[in-house]
Amino acid sequence: MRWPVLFIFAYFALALQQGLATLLQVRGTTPDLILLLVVFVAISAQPRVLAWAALALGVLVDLSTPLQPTGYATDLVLVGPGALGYLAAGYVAWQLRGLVFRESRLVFGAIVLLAGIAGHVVIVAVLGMRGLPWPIGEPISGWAAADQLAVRFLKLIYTSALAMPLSTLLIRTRPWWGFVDASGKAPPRAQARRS
Amino acid sequence: MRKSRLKPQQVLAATTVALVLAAMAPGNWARVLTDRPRYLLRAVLYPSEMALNSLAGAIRRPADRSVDLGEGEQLRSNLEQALYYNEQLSQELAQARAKIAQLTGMRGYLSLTGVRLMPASVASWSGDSLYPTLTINRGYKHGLRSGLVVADGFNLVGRLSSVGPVAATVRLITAADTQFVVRVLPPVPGAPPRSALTRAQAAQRRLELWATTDEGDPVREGDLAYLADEGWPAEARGLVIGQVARIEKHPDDPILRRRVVIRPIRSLTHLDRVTVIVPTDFEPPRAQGAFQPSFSSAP
Repeated sequence: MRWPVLFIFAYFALALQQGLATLLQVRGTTPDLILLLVVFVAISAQPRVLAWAALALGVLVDLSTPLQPTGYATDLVLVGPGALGYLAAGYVAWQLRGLVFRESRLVFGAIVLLAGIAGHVVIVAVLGMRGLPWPIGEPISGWAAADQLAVRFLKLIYTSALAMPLSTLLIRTRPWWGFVDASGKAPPRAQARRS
Repeated sequence: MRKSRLKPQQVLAATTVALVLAAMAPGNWARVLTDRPRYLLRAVLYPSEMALNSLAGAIRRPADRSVDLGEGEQLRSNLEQALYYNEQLSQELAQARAKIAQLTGMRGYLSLTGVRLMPASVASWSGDSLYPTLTINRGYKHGLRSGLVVADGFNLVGRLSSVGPVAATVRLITAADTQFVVRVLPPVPGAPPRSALTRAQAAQRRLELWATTDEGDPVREGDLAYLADEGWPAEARGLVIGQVARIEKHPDDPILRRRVVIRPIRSLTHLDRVTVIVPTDFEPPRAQGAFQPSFSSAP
């Protein structure tokens, strides 16, 4: 995989996700475009590349998500919850990619939903652990796990619906990414396009 | 070649553990770890996000609720206008303070009695390196006339070569036929006293000046050249022409004489604001068109 392509797409995904939030929001829910990228990489790249890509994208999401821990005057960002969550999402998507027809938009949307559930459960679990008395006992202000799960599920539904049309665009850009399979060759479809 | 002891899977596992620890770090530690990358990412994303956000707001903006607050609405509107005006005034105040600091520096250096200082903005540079000129946004309606001295702080910029109603042209000291007497002095006050009086002329198309000195004249690189020409107005004498950039052998007489290359301290073609030194005994023209600009007072 060509890493600069990933970071260019990640830049645009983050900018669109946050810059167009007022336009894209439906009843206060905005899509998770970075998750689309993670799933797209998961169904196209080798597992090792996928793991690093998911971690990198997760760190970017973490860095752009300020939290307000109780007892602190200013907000802060935590590196880790998003990275671990997207790693889990990527793993689930990678597990599913062998079972289904990857080029289908419907399937892509379904994978986004399932992988997203796994990812966001991990994120909520990690952030929820901060609220436990041990080891640090720093709950996030106004944060409740059940509430978060509900909100994030709505977000995943929206993302999954948006994934269907966007997957067409992403799949068309596949030759730019330089994906190779485990044998070091480009996937058959990309080879056919190049020839 | 020595192979790395760590396998990729081990590196990945270690990274995952590090991320778990980072996610569980106390807030103060997390802040130390993440503040810099966070603001770096924000700086990178900011331009795109701002454009997209304004686009999104233009496309989909919820309708403002129509509530009649009566006098309160009027007060709110007045407050918004006042805040906006205050912001403008603050910016102008900051500019004025910068200018005052510049002029204070000038006054501390020169005895500017009998003159007033008129700040002006530079509208453009002619782009001609042979006869470089600047256009400023002051003219004879502001009391200017040809020949007045233009400075930037304590640096001499040039003289007004033509004056229109609301704009004037400044001929820079690096214009082709400029010649004047300069005194070259050490830049640091209190340095061993040495000075040299010499004649400087513009080096064509180089935006610098050349002066000729004798081999024994105490001129060194880094010295400052001050205007000391009796042909120039008194208020201009003492202004800085530039700094001695290098000293080389004179091409016509390499044994006995040297050529001193003087470069203006600030690039005269990149100035934003300048100051016109206007003698107070000067009577400005009363009617438009009654004043005929001339450049007869050029040295």
